[in-house]
Amino acid sequence: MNEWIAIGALALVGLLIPLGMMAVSYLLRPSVPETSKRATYESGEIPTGGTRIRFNIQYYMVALLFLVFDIETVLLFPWAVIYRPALESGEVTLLEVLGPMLVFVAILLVGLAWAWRNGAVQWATSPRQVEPEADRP
Amino acid sequence: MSGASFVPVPLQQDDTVLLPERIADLTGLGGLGTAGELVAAFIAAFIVGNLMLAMTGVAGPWAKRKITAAFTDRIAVNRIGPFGLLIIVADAVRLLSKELIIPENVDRPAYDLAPIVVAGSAMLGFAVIPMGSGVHLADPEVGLAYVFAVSGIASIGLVMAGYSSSNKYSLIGGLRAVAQNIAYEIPLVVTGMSVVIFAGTLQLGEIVAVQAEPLISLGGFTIPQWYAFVNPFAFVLFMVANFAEIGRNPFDTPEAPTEIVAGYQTEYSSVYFVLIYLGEFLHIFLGGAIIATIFLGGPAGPGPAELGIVWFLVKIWAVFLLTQWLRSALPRVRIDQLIEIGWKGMLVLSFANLVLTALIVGMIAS
Repeated sequence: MNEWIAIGALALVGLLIPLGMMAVSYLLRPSVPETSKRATYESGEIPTGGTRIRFNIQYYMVALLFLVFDIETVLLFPWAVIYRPALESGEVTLLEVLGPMLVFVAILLVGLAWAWRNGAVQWATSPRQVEPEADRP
Repeated sequence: MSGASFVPVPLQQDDTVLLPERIADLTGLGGLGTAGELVAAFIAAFIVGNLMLAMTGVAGPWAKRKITAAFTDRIAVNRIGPFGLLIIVADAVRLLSKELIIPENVDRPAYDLAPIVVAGSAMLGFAVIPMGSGVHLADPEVGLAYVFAVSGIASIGLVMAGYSSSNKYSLIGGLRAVAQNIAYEIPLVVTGMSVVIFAGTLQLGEIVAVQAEPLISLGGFTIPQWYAFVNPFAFVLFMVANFAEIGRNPFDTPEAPTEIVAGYQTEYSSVYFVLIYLGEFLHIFLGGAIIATIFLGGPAGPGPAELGIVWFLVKIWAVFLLTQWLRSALPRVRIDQLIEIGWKGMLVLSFANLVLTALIVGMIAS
């Protein structure tokens, strides 16, 4: 039996359970339309401004860094799987199997060190905190 | 560790049959060809899905309250049923019959889809987890990579919930959830990879089988080769990364009730709230299931093999208990601290762990 059929079946169940709960809730719940309760919650105040605003660029920086490292982990998985069987077959030396991975990781760690020095993984503080007090407008 | 005498375990022992096949055999559905297979697979998936749903049902309305109450010296739910257990039924009815209030500025398709994505994706990971006693839905060769992949889908649901709610607290919560998930995903996967180096496979059934081998014997008492014992450092790293990944204390910044109300779920009510809440609990249990499978020998434990699922549930409930303990005991880290711990601490430590593991395994194996 193909195993992915079972995984697909669980995906279907994972979809049907939320939909079923929604259906049950639809039958049970009351509906009392009233406009003021539909206001966006802002701690009881009238919301000021929209939500589609510019926000901290830091989220973008860590996401970029993540892309690089995530691809790296994907590339490392096949290596990790064959590492021990390859060594035990005795056909390759330790240096031949381990060396390329070490170089690969080292290159990425150099990248991390660069990002670290440039403050990409340092959560950005507001300009007021970074600027010297004399430069503030 | 007896690395030199490592013998690859056969893919599946004869007595481990996957759940869909077992159901097909028991009900005679196997004779019906592809349609029978599909029905058997669906029944098996239904069993696994509802098992997880039942555990979440016990954990969310009841166990969480009881545990927190015990830590803070209170009694908590005790009025309905024995030990207050029937609060589960009462809460299910109460939550499902709440009015659904949809705020005026929400992005409709995304706002409605987010709860389904969060709850549904959390369920997917359990497909490949060997739970013992024959409850094992599928065992593909890429098992571990698959689990990590599907557990990442929830991030999309969280950012959908946060962004479409059109609420500032939700936006911050959703973005924090993603920043946190991606910061700790790398240490999590890289630490998991150090287990793959030991096991030489991604197939979870086989990773569990390898862990059944004895590590050392002390006076007639055999300690199995669980990777938590083989590499405790990786175990601790994985636990920490896992807590951040599932957004539990001390890494619960995406929700952070004292800072941003409830994060991405601020604008959700009624059944939508239940689904997001359910997804979070499923994620705690999925994290526990991954830890149990790759570090704690999966369903292994004393007694006959039929008790497998009991031991498996004990292990994932132990992880759940730990999350609730930390919730009561540790203060929350700030978002800037969290990102720095992830990228400057955990990432470097996880790569150190990977390289050291590779070196030590290499020395022994060659």
